[in-house]
Amino acid sequence: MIPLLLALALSADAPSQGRDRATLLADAAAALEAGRRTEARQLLKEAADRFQSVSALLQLARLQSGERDAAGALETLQRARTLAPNSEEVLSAIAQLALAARLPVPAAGALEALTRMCPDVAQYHYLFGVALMTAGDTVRATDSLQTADRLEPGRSLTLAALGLALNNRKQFAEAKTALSRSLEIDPERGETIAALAEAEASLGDVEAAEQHARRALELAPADPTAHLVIGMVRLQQSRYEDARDALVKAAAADPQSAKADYQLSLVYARLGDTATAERHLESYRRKLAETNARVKAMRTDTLPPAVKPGGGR
Amino acid sequence: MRRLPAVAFLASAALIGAARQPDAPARLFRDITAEAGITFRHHAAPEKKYIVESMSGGVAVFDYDNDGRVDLYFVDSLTVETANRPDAARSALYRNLGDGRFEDVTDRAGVGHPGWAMGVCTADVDGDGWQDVYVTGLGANHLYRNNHDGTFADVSERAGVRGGGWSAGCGFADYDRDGRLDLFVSRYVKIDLARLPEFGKDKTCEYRGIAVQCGPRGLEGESDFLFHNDGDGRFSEVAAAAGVSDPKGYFGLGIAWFDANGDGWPDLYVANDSTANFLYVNQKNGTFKETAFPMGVAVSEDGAEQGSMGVALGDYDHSGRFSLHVTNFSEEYNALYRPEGDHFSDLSFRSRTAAVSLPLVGWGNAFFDYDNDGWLDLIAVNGHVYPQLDRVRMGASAGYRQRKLLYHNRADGTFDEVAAKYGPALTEERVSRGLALGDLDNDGGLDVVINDLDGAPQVLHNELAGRGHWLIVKLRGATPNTDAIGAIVTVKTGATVQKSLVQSGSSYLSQHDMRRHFGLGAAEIADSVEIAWPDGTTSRRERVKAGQILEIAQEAIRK
Repeated sequence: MIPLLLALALSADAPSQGRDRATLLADAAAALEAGRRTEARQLLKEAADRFQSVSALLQLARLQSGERDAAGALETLQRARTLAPNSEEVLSAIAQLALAARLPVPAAGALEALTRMCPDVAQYHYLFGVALMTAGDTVRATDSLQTADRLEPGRSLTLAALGLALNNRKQFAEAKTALSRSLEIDPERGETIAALAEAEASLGDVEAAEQHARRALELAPADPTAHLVIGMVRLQQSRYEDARDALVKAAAADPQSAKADYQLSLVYARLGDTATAERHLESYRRKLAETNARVKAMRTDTLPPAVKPGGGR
Repeated sequence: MRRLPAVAFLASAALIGAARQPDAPARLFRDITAEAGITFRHHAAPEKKYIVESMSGGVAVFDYDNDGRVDLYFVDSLTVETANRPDAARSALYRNLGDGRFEDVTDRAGVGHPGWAMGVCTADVDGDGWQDVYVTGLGANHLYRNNHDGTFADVSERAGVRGGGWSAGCGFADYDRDGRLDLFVSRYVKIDLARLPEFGKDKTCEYRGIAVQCGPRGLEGESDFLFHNDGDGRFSEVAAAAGVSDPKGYFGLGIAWFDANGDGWPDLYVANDSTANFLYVNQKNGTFKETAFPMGVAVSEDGAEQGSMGVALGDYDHSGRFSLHVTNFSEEYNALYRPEGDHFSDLSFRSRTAAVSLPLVGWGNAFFDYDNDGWLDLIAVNGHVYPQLDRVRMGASAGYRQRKLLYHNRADGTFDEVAAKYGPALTEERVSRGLALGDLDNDGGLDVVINDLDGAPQVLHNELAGRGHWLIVKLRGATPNTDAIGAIVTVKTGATVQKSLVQSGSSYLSQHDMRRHFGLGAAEIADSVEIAWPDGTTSRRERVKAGQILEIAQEAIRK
């Protein structure tokens, strides 16, 4: 322990003044290679501060991300974006990092710029669609995913995401088509099968919905959509205890889902348990407010006007 | 409506047949607005920079002069520019002359200038056997008492129903079953004309990146009114005590009184824009309990709050209970809630009514049997609130002007959307708001009257060939509820049982003809007609011939 502390102290005290940008970056790389992450971080910070080095900031963000400091990494990348607002590398890094950290608002901001800079790259439209959908703006998400599908037809992931977005927009017939196409290419993706079940249930094809939901659960036993579909089908069938059991699993699998709470409020009301129904209603309202706040943030703070979603209504 | 001579009709049909392609649209509705002499124009600012310029107005189909023919009342509104010139808006009353034409009797009647008007509902408020008119609006509402001589007197002040703020929906019902008609008024947004939210400026004043009017989200909502009829020509405002005041200020629009839980007492549904809807269940003691969430009629099937506008009621599947149809904003489907036991189920997609409504902003709506086959069909009219949309047409989204939706009932719980089959009267893109039904020429075919935001209304005459047999039931309730508002008419023909409710106020801020219309299909005789009067008593007629307007008075045959 003592040698380590000593090394850290030495490293912190080591005068780096006089080293040029390239040397600092090389030293940082060497430190990283040797596992001296603290030293590497300090060198990268110095390179960034002294030379306004975008490269240093990118490496620093990578380091922070590796240390699970997503917020710090994102802050670093936003600084890089200020220095190089049109850098594809910086924007792409922001997008990937934000999406991985489930921060759709900054991801969408970066991806919107990327789709404008590189309008023919399907991947950016796909990721932009995913970010928008995650943030709750399914209208723009659909547009973006359709563009991705047009640029690179027949990509299973794009079709699956498009199906999810269309489900969210209640365009179930169109969703079913996209999801079926996705499953033709990749038939074993549980999330896609569950989304197909959701579309089928909403279209009234209860038998197919249940079959697909069960298949999805075989592949992914905790899939929240599949549990939700089973719950909603049971609710339609007035099998309230079974509906409750499935919906409880759906809520546990996706604690952020307002949908599951709303359905649970209905099922407990049918079961005569008004107190629990009310509790789920409150939870539903809270989550709905959180979603609304997220969409509002998208609308007002991060995105330029061209991508701001629905306004007063 | 006025009939063309048969020879002329056949000749023109032959010519049309020769000239048109084989798939020319079938005739259902013909727009007779101009030939009927309807010159009313709804005023609206072209840019709709403020939400208050987008929401009017309603229309009423009612018989104000008791001549057996239904008349029309169109609501007009001011704009921010004309706000201080009340004469700039002119609502209009048209008397049905019975020969296919209508006469503008507004000035004589004295109902032309209710100010910045929004909606309308009618009822015989004072029990004198003549329908009175209640007009909602911005600033003040107006109760026009029928003077029985073609004129009306504005008694709102004395009656205590002027309200204030921004009133929208209205409807009369005897909620406490004391025999007198009470009045519910929904209110929308708090608006100060001197400090209007600036167009496109605020966070909530953009729609997909386009600068638009602000609201309703981001603006403060208004509470609602319940006026209890005290029986001396005066009303007391009791909304808070009754539990229907909406203290959180949701954005109230369309309303409908009906018995939602089958206990015989009037309950109340309120469509709220951008917020959850209300279903107030009558507690039979002068108070209500809000139950929309547990009863499954507050939000969409997946729990999303919707921008709700109009409300329609109908027993479309012969279940013996009334389902609810609620029109909503674009990207939010129009909802069909069917009663099942002690709650409602959202059958919107399963009934095949929802998907086609997604791109449209829905307003006036109604269940009605346009082909008299004994199954209620459904109509909804549409039009956006943002004219700016037309400058930046986006993808598959509908523009500012929008077509209507007409659904034909397949008698199996599902509908086919058939507007395109019937041509431009339904497919022409317009900016519609209020919708009311009535048989304007007493020919057994239900006609449709629509008030548009921008300009001329539409009077659509039902000219479908080969309609089924029909029966219209006109009720005369016990005084003072002479309209028998709240009564349910049940008509049986063979195994078919149809129910219809006498309502004041529904659709979008509008009033249907209170006479109840039934399609009988091939049946020339209805086996029975039964009335459940609002006070719980019943009347019954047997073997009633089709093709007539059957009048039933409560006093005469009360059991």
